[in-house]
Amino acid sequence: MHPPPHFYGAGEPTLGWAFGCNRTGAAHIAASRPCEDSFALWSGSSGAVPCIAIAVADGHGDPRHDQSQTGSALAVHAAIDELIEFHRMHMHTLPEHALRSEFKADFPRRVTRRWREFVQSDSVRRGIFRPRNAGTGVDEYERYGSTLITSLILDDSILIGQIGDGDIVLVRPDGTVECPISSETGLVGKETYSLSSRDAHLLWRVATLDRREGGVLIVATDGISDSFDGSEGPEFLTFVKSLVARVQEFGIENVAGSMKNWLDRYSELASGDDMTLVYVSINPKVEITGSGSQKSVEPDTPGTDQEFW
Amino acid sequence: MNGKAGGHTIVDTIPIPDGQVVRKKLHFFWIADCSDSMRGKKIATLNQAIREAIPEVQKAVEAYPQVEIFMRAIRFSDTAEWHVGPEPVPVADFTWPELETSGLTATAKAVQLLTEELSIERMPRRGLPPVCILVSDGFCTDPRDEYDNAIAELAKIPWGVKAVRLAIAIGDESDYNEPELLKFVNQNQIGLLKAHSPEELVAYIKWASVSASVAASRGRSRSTGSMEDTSNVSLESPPPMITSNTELF
Repeated sequence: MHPPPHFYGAGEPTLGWAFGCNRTGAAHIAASRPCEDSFALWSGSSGAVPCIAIAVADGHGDPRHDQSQTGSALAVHAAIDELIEFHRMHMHTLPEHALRSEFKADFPRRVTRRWREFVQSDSVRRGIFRPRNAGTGVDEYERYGSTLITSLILDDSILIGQIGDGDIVLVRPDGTVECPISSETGLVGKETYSLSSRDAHLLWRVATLDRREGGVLIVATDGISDSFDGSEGPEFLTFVKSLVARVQEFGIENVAGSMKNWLDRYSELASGDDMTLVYVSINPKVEITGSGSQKSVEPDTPGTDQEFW
Repeated sequence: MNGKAGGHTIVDTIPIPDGQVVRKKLHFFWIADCSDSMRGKKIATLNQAIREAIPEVQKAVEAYPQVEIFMRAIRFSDTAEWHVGPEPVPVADFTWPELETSGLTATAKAVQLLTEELSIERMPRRGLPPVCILVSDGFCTDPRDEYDNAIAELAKIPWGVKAVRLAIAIGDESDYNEPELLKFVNQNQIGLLKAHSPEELVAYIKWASVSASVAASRGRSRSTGSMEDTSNVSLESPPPMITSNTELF
């Protein structure tokens, strides 16, 4: 399994672009442990209908999850495969509202199953396959345990799915911040729902957002929000909004150049955890008017940031 | 990737995004018996041992610079009250006030006070597992039902389950109720730490506080729903005690 790239980008002219950065946590470096986060981005079209697919995964650090570095890499692989497949299967057959309900009903099951197939194949190939309860009570899925956050940017919608911790935040053009999936899970400490949990497909939380106004979608592993005051905490959301402002002011190339140092600093000073951040700039939808000219859909409350979008 | 501006790379001039970063908080609770039976050598050793343990805890967690330990202490005799607290004190500022002895052994009330503090309303949902170390030399003088209910309540709340809960018993086995103190412990592989002598009490207080703090500081994520054990942390067994003198409590 190759280590995840530190930087990676993808773009689609009508929908927007995505950039990701991945860093090994300070506590991992100190303990000679690898980065257990992974991310993957994909942009393209199916039958001339474009989409951007995003996946971010965080392998569990507990010793029971000793293959979680591979588990998170397989998770983003499975997610991108299934997002593309979902797009290909449904974009020309389902209306938008049906697409959303289909995503909710079908995607968690499909991606969980795909991840488990990958895990089984990997563990057999590497000769580390262990049936459940063979001595340790830990099965191969647990050893590969990982969270997963996915998003599919479409013409009208942003489809989001998440299992386990991590954050997904949308900053609208007027500066409004939306957390489409609540961080409240009833769990405490570092316990998290996982692709390796029993009935994992039932532990997914999904949401859909309207894409037409555009905005910036931030997807991050919990190492980042844990460096502030946690998911949905005011300091974390201040960071998110400030990051968007930095991109507006300095451009993504320059921010990308600074990102690894910022994430390393947060990890050293605060959480110590691996850090992965994906930044997705989503264009406002361009409507074709009756005269054939194009115009952007404007937000209800135009702000000073509008020209950025 | 990097742009240039006035001979300097632009990336050098980009200020880090706003937002206050915070270190991970590890909440540490001492629960100390100061009943009349602790009078004399026991309480003197306890006071000394905790004072000596604090710098050792600080030193041990230097390997985890992202972790900040906050300490508090509950004392119990006829009733239970804060010895240091209820506001958590950064370990660097923590000082152990001399503990005086009097009265009975209200262990149940001490556990109730701890349970209130470990509630989700008072502890952040995300974070490192708290460390709780109970030190006692006697039988709980609260009614048995009250003690059992207090333990049941503690074991019911999420942070009560996830906390690293250790107990140190002082003196001869006949002086304290071992099954009772064991109910507080959630590290089955460790069991009850039995200090027969001042030397052992000092050693166990240092070992328990340092080991539990280091183990809790690791704070590695794990999946829920499929693990046999529910505690966040598991400790190695303590080293065997080799008492160099025969002075017993």
